[in-house]
Amino acid sequence: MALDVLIVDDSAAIRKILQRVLMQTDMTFGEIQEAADGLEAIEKLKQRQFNLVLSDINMPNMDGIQLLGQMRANAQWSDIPVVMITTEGSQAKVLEAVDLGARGYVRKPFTADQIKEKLIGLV
Amino acid sequence: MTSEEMQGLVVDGLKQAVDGLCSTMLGCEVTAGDPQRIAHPLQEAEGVIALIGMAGPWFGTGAILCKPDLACKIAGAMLMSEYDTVNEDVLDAIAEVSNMVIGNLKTVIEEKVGPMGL
Repeated sequence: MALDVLIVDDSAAIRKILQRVLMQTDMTFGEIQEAADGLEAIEKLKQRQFNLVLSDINMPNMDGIQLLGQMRANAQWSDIPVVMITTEGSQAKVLEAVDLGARGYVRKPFTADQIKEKLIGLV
Repeated sequence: MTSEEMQGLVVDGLKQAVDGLCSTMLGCEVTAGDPQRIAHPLQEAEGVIALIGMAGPWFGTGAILCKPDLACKIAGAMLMSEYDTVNEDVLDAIAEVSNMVIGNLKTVIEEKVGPMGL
């Protein structure tokens, strides 16, 4: 099955790097879309069903924790696995994301292997 | 915490953050020089400058300064592309570098002084 993925990060550089990392895995991807913040991500989620969301935490307009909360509160999106990829290292934020159902957490800076390891068995 | 201890924490935190960034995302190793105290580092800065404010029990501004050719090299290593001039991609890459370096420094400082924001 080809996976449709939404990458959410306010840095175009990180979005580009994550796209490249995904293409280096053995997984088959369909549509890989990008959003620069949580608000844009919500709009993308309304337009199509994704199999996986990779999201930063600290973003303008709507951060990754708020996005995660909105996804979990919506029956259509609540089962989509979300992996947080962020510089945010505070234990409180990590626990908040886990409490909201984040399926994984990768600290920036990251290696391609760290991302791949997180995705194995997730989707 | 004494002033010397604070400086040591920042210097060690920055070294750790830069080492981590270079080894994971830039594919290079760096050797840190001796730390220097510069009164007004931005006054004569040239090239690309990225600034991030830190707030909380400690507050201040973290800055990454680099000449255009180095900014292009860093962006090229990060994005696996070649850049001859500073463009949006290069600026975004340097902004993300500063975000990762100062963000990781923030985490190191938070362990000593409590929650902080960027």
